[in-house]
Amino acid sequence: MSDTELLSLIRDDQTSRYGFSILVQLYQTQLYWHIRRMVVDHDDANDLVQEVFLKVWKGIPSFREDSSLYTWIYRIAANECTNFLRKRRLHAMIPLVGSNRNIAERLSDDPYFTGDAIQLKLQQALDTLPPRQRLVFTMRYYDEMPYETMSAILNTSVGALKASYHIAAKKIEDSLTQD
Amino acid sequence: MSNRKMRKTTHRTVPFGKDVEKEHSTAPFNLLRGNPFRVPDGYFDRLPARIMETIDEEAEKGKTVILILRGRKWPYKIALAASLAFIAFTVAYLIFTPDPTQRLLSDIRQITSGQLEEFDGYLVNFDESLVDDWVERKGDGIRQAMADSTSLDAVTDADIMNYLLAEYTPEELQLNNETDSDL
Repeated sequence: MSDTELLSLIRDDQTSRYGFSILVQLYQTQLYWHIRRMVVDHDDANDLVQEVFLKVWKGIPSFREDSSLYTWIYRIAANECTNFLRKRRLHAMIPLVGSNRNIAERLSDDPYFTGDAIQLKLQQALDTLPPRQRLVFTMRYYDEMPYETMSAILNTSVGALKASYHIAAKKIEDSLTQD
Repeated sequence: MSNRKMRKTTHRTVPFGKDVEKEHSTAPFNLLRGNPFRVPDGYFDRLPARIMETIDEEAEKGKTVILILRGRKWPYKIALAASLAFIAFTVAYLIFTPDPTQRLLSDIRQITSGQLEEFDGYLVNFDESLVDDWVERKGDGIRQAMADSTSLDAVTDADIMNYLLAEYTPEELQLNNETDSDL
């Protein structure tokens, strides 16, 4: 089904819910895993993926189709993730409020994380990256996205994205080869 | 450890091409690409229904509930007004309590996604992660300079140039220039 056909279904009052359920089925898995790799915790990812789809639902009437549905939805998810991570970093800077447990402590209690010690170390390294840099790394390394697609989603030049990825990868490499 | 059921997920996203594999072939983290995360059993089967519920709940929130006191006697109205005034006073007291930490936390919580996106709008054509990285590196450089000398005045242009050359590859510096020219 093309973007146009899907959008027609969703924009028709008679078929809007049916059309949107198709959209959810199409994108839910890919979006969830992208978000999960960004925020790590399942409950946070679950909240964010619902928030993303809610924004998509609200935004479809005004979606001008300047980009593909995929690009638009991914852009919303990327913004939600970076906003979430920025707020989490701000919270972490304030002592005695919220949860200041580090990533290792959180993952050791997480029943949905089954990685070994080296995977834990990788997560710790990823947690040190600035949100936007982590986003670029996740999209390139885990989602295996071409730089041109990333450029369309993030509205950033390919050169800047390559530089950002290079710096992130170097930081992670340095972190993993320490000790 | 929770005894909740878990499903091993081997989800891989769209394989975009061999260029990505080639790019990572020598990276030490390349062997770590397996997914260490799991989801609750049946999670993706239930997610669409949950999303539709969220949409319905959001639609309900838009409806305003109007409290009508028709037919009530004056004492009830006075009691209600007093209760509302007490609640308003309590809320105002809590808001204006001079606790800097709580106020700061409150301020952070009140930052909306829209405001953050508006801030991002100022960074169009500008890779923010490069700024983050620059600030991080510069911060270390400044701290090191302060440790090495009694005053920042002791840091010369040559020191800064040497620091940049030591911390960045020529390619990185070139790419930074490209980014600047995009502005």
